[in-house]
Amino acid sequence: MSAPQILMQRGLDRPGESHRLEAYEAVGGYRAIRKALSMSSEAIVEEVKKSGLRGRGGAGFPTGTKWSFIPRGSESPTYLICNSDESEPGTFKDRWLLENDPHAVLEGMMIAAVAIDCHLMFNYFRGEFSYPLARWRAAVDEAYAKGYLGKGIFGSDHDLEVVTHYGAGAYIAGEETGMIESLEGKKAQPRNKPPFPAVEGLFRSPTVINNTETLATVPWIVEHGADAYAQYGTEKSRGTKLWSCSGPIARPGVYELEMGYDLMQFLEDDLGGMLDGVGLKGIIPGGSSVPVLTPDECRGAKLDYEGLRERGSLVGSGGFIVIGDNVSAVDCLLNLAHFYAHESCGQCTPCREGCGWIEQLVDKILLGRGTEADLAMILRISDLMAGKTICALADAMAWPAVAFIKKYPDDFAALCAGPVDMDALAAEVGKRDHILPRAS
Amino acid sequence: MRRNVGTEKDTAYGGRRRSPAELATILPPGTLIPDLREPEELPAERADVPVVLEPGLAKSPTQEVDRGQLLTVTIDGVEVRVPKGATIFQAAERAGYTPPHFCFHRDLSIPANCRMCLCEVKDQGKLQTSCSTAVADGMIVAFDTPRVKEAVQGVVEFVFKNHPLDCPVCDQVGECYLQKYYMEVGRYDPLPIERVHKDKVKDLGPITLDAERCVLCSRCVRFGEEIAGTSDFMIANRSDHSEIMTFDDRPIDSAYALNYTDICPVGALTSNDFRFRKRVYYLKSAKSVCPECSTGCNIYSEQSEDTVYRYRPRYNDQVNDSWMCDPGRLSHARVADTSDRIVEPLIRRNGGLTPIDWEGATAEAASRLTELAGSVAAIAHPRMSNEDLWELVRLLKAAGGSAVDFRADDSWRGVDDLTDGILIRRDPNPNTRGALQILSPGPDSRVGEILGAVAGGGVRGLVVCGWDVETLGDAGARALAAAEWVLFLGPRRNSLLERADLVLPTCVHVERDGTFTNHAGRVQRFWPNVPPYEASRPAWAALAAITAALGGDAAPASAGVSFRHLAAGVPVFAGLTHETVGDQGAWLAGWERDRMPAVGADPMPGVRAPIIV
Ligand SMILES: Cc1cc2nc3c(=O)[nH]c(=O)nc-3n(C[C@H](O)[C@H](O)[C@H](O)COP(=O)(O)O)c2cc1C
Ligand code: SF4
Ligand code: SF4
Ligand code: SF4
Ligand code: FES
Repeated sequence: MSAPQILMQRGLDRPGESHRLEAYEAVGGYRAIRKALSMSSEAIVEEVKKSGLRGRGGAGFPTGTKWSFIPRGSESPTYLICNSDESEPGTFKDRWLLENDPHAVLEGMMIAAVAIDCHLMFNYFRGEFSYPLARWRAAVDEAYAKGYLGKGIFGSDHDLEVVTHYGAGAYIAGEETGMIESLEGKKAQPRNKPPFPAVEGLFRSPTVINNTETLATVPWIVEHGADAYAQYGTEKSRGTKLWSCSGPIARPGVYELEMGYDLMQFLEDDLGGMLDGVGLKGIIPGGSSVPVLTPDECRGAKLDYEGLRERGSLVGSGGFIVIGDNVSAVDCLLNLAHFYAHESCGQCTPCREGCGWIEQLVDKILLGRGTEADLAMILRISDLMAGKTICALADAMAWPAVAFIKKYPDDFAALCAGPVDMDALAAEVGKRDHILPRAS
Repeated sequence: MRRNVGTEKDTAYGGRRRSPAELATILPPGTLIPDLREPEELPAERADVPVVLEPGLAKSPTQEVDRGQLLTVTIDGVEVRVPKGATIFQAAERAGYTPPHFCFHRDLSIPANCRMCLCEVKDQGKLQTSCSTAVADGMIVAFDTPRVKEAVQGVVEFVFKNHPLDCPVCDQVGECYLQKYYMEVGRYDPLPIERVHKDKVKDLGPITLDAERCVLCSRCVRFGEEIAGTSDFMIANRSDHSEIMTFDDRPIDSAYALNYTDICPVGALTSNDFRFRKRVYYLKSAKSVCPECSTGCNIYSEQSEDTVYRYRPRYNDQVNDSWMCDPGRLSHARVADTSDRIVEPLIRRNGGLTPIDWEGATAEAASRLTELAGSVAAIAHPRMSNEDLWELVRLLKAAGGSAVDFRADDSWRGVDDLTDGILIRRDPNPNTRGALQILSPGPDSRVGEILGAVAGGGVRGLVVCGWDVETLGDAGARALAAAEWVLFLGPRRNSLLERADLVLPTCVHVERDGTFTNHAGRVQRFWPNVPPYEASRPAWAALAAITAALGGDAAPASAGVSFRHLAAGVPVFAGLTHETVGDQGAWLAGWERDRMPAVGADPMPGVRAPIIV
């Protein structure tokens, strides 16, 4: 395993106690925040910018740049939100961090708060995360008891409070503006952008929202310096990233990899390859919202932002879902469609009606009642959804739908009642293909 | 003199109209709130179209509209200039094209959720929602492209996915946005799909809700939050199970509930008063003004076979925006009710009233007034139009009388009192302000004085317009007993007919044209939509005929001519004509209304930063 242990070392080294403050400090925890408090906020932002850290919540936006959008000296307070809503199917890396290394998340939040002059920060938990939530709460209590939170943290003049909030089990609350609405006590319905949260976010104030993993990376960067971090990874994808791996593989679980790691090497060496008797059908590399890769596309692919984009997929949330050749692509798509049809917030017409419609059509095909026209309809619906709604949930339904039909046409044809003209289907896919993420 | 619309108060219904500033604190950041200032141009409304879908004229968003700075935008090849901060939707309307829309409404905030108004903007990859996207200088926008058309067609198809095929039994037919758009861009290719089923035929008091027909545009939710202040509707659940409902299915308790049925673009919210009474395409519309209070909401009266079936608000941003109150709206029933209308002129002979033709009645009135030789007074009524009042003044002058007032009850004192911070005023008459200006009767009512003079024999003849004996009270009874001659004018029978010597039947407002002056001094015109009931005539015409018979000026040929004379005779009306008043009204000289009520001292931000204790 070639991965540097930036994010997972502590948790793996001291299983069962790594979540305690004592254990965290024993390996150098809370040194970075002390260092940060001695730096100017601009210097912290600059350091994070220089490190090349990009958001690990899905969109991969440069973290330091996001922080730099916060207006300096604004009249309203600034807020920081840690996005621990992790609900993307196949993704369970934030949960690992919150269970095994909550203090790293907390310290990262503290540093970010200092960098953006925030005195009240929030950690928004997925409602179902009761175990991580308990560990997080204990960590927060420990930090308050030590004076690491509250008035004048670490003896500085920076007051900092943290509010822990948990959702009611809506995937859409993970979308940043949906989360803000939810924190404001409303239904989690994403907002039209602009304005972006950095300008008007929570309670109409400048707000930074970062993924849990993004924030957990920050202490290491501050402690060891941007250059040390930037040494890992590729030119545009710096550092390391967690991958939560599932499917018919020998060693599923959460892994930390240097950016740019070879996909097949990861599958074969680190994950122990496929289970006996199961062949590789495809891999969804970045959580359910990104297009699936066929074995051919996997070969030679690099696990970083550019590498996956080049193959027509995305890093997304790092939910690495391996699909065995013992399942039908139709089944996979139905599973996803069922999820999105349940989770669309229902504001935008195309997403509200389209997700459920795709689910119905895939269901019909799976039951052997589908036709070629239904396949064409799924492609058309996907096209009418992608890029035409308030948030990216509609794309998250449309992309996989097109990708599955495009890449596994035989699976769909096999289940359809009546003949499917494969050339016509390919042409129809071609017409809709442009909605998929394009190679950069 | 300047008048304010009144101050903001809590309504009887718990609602309260929110100012744009206040709304800005409770809506998601960046939500555009159409601004309430007068638009620079209004489209000519078409009276010949029987039923008009809300034209969706967009006003500039409140946020950073700089009317001083004009930007050039090209919409489908047509170049238009709009103020900075205007939306593409607005620019498109300037260019003569109204983008398809469900969620956009010019008097509500803009959520951009229906995705119907998409357009292509040059150099931007994604399609943009025109309703919520501000223009930039030199922007090149296209609606007429295959990509936009397919997207819009797609949205219509999506809406239909779970829409019941109810058209044959749906009361929205003819004014349904979905039907209209389907006919324009639908694929006419019914797909065998499974529909999600939701509640149908839910009785919410004034409204029937059919949640299956709802397109989830959230207009009703926003109206409840932003205008009525009663927050009646919510969208419960997620995804295609999203469903419009009231909390706990409670009936709607609001004096503005029927506005929901206007703004609902489809047949999800229909009026219990109107539904199934008439297909809307049989209705003939005329522009009118609500006669039920001194606000004077602009309305359409709509009739079929000479029966008025409904009123509907007509846009006027100086008065009522797109709204009207339910009591005003439901007053159409009073107009349709002819059970107590006076059929023809009546004269007292041998103690009883017997019919007489107009010629005879006019001659009779002229000869009795001549006999009275100036010993005559009149009690006018604030439901009379400006023209009626002017002709009454002329008649009195011709007859040599002078004493006139209209304040037989106290309602005029409430002319400016907004009861609910929204639209309803305490004064239930449409023309109190006009009467105060035209009759200029002094600060306090002289009706008691007039009745006293008649009772005492000092004045021998009395003209009563519309009032009944009960309202005139004891003084009235004494006056009526003492009067030598009583002339009654009005559309309906009342107790005064027992004493009247001559009765002249007059038209109600939907039967004639004319103007009312609302509380704030806005002169507003209304048009006839049904013929006069039986032999009734507009009051101005009846009065002017008598003036002419007395040897005064010839009767004006129309209400418009009468109004011209009024404008020449009463200084605050100077310069106005029916034409300049038009369908949006005009201010009396020196009167102008501030557009928004002052924001109350108690802001209600729905969002507050948490306080750490
Ligand atoms: C439908 C949807 C769901 C999302 N769910 C999550 C989530 O569960 N966790 C998360 O961190 N980001 C999620 N995101 C991404 C966030 O909107 C946001 O980009 C991210 O939290 C920013 O943090 P980062 O810059 O650190 O990645 C979601 C986005 C969409 C469109
Ligand atoms: S795209 Fe879907 S989830 Fe996102 S705002 Fe629109 S309806 Fe809601
Ligand atoms: S709402 Fe419109 S389209 Fe739907 S049933 Fe009624 S008339 Fe037909
Ligand atoms: S009931 Fe009518 S106004 Fe309300 S959301 Fe549905 S379609 Fe829109
Ligand atoms: S009208 Fe623009 S999105 Fe609905």
